[in-house]
Amino acid sequence: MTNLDYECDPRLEIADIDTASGEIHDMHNHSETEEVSHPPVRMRPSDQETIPGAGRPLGEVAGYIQLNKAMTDNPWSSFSSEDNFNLSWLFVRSKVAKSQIHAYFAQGLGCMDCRSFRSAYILRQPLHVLKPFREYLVWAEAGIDAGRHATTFYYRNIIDSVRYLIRQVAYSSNIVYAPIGEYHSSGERLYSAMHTADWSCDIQV
Amino acid sequence: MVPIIGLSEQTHLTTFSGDNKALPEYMTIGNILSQTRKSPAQMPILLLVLLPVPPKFTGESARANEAQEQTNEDTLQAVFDLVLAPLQAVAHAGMVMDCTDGKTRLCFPILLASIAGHAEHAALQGIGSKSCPKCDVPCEELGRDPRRIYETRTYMRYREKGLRHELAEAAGIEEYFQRLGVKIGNNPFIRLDRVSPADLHKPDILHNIYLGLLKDMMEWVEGFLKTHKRQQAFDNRGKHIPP
Repeated sequence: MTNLDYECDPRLEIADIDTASGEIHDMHNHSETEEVSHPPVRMRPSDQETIPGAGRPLGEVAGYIQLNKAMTDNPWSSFSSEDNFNLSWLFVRSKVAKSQIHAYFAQGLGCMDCRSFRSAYILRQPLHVLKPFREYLVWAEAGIDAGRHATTFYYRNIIDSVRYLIRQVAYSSNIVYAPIGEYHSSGERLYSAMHTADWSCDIQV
Repeated sequence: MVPIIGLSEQTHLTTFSGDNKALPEYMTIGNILSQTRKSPAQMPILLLVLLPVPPKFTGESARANEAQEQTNEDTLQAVFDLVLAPLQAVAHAGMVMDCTDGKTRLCFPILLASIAGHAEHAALQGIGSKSCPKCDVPCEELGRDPRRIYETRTYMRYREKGLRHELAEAAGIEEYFQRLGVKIGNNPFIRLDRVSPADLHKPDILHNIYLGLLKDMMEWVEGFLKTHKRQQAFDNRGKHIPP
C-alpha cells in the first residue's frame, strides 16, 4: 500500500468492486517484485460504507431546470456571440488597460456586430452578470476602533458564501453531500478526500 | 454536513499604502472534491473578510506598544466574532440550501479547519508566539521528548478560568497562563458549537512544511551529503523523480 497513490472515487459503482479488487492485488504483487520507481498508480477502494439518510435530498430547487435550459440554449449569454465572448476573454486575460480597449475600438478594429460592446465600460456590463448567484457575495461594511486607528473593513456573510459554493453549477460533478467510509480489500480503512475522514462520519447528524 | 475551511495569510501592502498590512481571510467548503478545491482556475476559494492590520508599535513607550498590541488582538478577535456569528445560528438546526444538482438539502455548515501560518494561529487562538495551538506543552519543552503526549488544549476552560479569577480578583492567573503559553483573552472559536478550537489548527504547507520542516531537513541532508561527497549522486537521483 505504501507506494500506491490511492484516489477516492465518489461515483464508485458496485459493478466496479470486483474489478477494482483484482487491480489492487495485481498492483501490489507487481510493486513487491520490482524496485524500479514508477509514476504513482491510481486505485479504487474495494468497499464503501455510507450513513443512511446523510445527504438525502428534501426537494427540488425552484427554477433549476429553467436556469440550466437558459444556459444551454445560449451558452454565450450574457455576451451577444461567441466572437464577442472571445474578444472579452482576450482583453480580460491579457489585462489590457481600459485606455487601450478604447483605442482599439476608436481605430475601428472591433467587429461590426451592433450588439457588441464598443468600449471598456460596456464590456463590464456582461462581465458583472456573468457570475450566477452573485447575490450571495455582497459585501457588508463595518467599523472597528483599534485604539487610535479607527478604520473600516468589509466582510461577506459566511452562510451566504457557503450557499454560493454549494449551488455553484461549475462544481456539479465534483461535489459530495455525504460522508463515505472506504475500505481496502484487506479490510483496512482508506482515507483520501475530506468526506472519507472519521470526523465527517462522527459529526454527521 | 458542510465543513468550512478557513485560510488566512498576512499580506504586506507596502507598495500601495505605505508600510501597512492586511489580513485577508478566505474560505472554501470540504464538499468540493480536492481536485477542484485545489484548482485556482475554478475559483473555489472566496474572500470572506479583508482586515486592515493596525501598526504593531506606536513608536512611543514600551507600555504603549504593549497596549497597542493587545488592542490589535482584541480587534482581530472581535471581527472574527462578528464574521463567524451566523454559523452559531445554524450549528444545530441546520439550514435548507439549494445544491448544485438541483436538489435542496438540510445543510449544517461547521467550521472544520483553519489553514494559516503560526503567527495567525497564535493571534486568533490567543496563545504566545512560541506556544503550540493544539496541546498544553510548555514552550520550553517543545521538541524535547517526542514520545511524551500532552493534553489537548481546552480553550473554553482557559476562558472560564480567566473569568473566575477576574471576578474574584485573584492573583496567580497570569503565571498559570504564562506556563501554558496562553494569553488571557478571548478565543473567537469557543463560542461556536460543534467546533473544537484545538482541532482547527492545520499547518500551512508553504510556511510549516516547505519553508519550515523541509528547508530545515534539506540543510541537514545537504551538509551530510557534502561531508561524504555524495551530493552530485543525490542530485542525479532527484532529477529522475517524476513531477
